[in-house]
Amino acid sequence: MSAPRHRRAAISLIEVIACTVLVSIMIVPVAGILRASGQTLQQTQADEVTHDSCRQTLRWVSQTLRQSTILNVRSGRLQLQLPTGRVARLERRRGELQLNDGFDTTVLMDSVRSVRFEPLLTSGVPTTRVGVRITLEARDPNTRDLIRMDTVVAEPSQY
Amino acid sequence: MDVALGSMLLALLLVPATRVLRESRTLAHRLDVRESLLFQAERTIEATKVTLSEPAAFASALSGAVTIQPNPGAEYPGVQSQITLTVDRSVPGSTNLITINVQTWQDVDGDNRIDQDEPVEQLRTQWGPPQ
Repeated sequence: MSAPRHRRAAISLIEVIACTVLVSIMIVPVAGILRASGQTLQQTQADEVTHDSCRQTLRWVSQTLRQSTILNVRSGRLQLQLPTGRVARLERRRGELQLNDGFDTTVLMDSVRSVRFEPLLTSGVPTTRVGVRITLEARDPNTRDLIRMDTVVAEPSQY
Repeated sequence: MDVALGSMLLALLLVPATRVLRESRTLAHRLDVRESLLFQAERTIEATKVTLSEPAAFASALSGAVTIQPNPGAEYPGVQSQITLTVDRSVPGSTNLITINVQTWQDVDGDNRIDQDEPVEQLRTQWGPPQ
């Protein structure tokens, strides 16, 4: 005569508690690692985003300058004539790099600590301006790291 | 037994998800490196144009006697550039054009050479004699 078979109807309380404890023990260190990785990743990405932003801004400015006529170069301000014929100023105002053509103001980048325009001159006499060096300093809003990037734009010297 | 099965199922799901995340990050990083290299190549080309805007430097380049050392920005450690200047005589009547060829690469192993597995970008333009 065989013993009566008990059909299992549900999960017992002991099993639920045991499972919860086991899962908790497994999750705590994994969650810690994930949080630390996330913070490291966030900091790295923030630096990359600011680098990327500086690079994109300098590329945009370089392209605009190549299509325009540079009228005047000062340390913190550059005056240019846009392809539309409007005269515009490129400068830092209220922590932003702005292009102002008298009608519209375009914000090219924020969190800008400084911008410097340096004319590049020929060595001969009289000196001729053959390019502009643009140096951009920006502070990452999250990490507070200072990022400095520069580029050069050549002016056509053939005419 | 149930817990073991559950853990195995979870691991089966987590492993490909982690792999996809890692690949996504690798691709994003590769794109960022490419953009940095392009930016550096553009910067080097423009700086070379400025150098060639000096009549003496342009004349030296025509005679093949000039060597321009690229000036990589401090913000890109490990990025190297190589400038090659050649006189373009292919267009009749305009033998004074100089072709500026810039190769920029991420020098991963620091041997100052372009290796097969290192990302490279190349830009080329032409520059006429200054007035």
